Amino acid sequence: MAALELSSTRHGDRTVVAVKGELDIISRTQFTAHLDRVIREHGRKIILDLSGLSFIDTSALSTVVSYWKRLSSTEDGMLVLAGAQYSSARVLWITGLAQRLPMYDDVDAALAAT
Amino acid sequence: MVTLRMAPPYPTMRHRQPMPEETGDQVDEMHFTVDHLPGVRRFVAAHARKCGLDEDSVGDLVIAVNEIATNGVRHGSPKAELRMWASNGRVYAEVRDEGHWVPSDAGETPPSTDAEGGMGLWVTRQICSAVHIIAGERGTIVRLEMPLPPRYA
Repeated sequence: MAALELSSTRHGDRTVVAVKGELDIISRTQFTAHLDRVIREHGRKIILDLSGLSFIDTSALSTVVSYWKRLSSTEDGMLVLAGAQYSSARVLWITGLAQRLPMYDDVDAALAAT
Repeated sequence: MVTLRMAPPYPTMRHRQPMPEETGDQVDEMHFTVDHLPGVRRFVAAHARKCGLDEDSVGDLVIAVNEIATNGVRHGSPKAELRMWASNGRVYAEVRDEGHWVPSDAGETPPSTDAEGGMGLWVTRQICSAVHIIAGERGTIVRLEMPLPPRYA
């Protein structure tokens, strides 16, 4: 099984979800369960901290895209990415989604801008 | 008297390429299920490095093989096989499963701007110098190629 560690920290109305490890077809169910719980308990504004990510495949990227669309479709929701590195999240760049998804260098930059 | 002939275990390639067994190149192989995908990624990285692929291309090839391997065990058969070898200045990775998951012309056009799935084969085609898909009655074979840096060619 892919090793995946998820943790969340609240910053006002925003929640930083830190993703550590590998996101693939199997571990993405753990990821969606965590996101769903964060949304239910803390609200619809999420900063995904990808600085600890070591791998992501296209199925997990599709999941991120669908949460981004769902959350950003309403005034009280958002999903932004922070700290994504080319070496570990290269499907973001290969697919061109790095140009479409809101991305920040790190969590501090994302917190300052949102 | 009836002569029984063993059917080939996998479909014959239309454009015949020498099999690694015929060229004497060393082939590494592993069998995997969906639970072994992290192991598949590590296998690809280790083998690609051993063959002399640069680190950036190693990361690319890991993405490509992981996508094909994922398709294999998700849409093909629960168990699949990965083989890797180097020959004639290229690294080859071949995924074989016993299913029929490849729709015609899949992955030849970029995913639409609101795509939420089906990006795997397209991404693989962006990464690899060649993607051969052989869909036969007994299963699907996908063979990926990546060129080695000139000093290894």
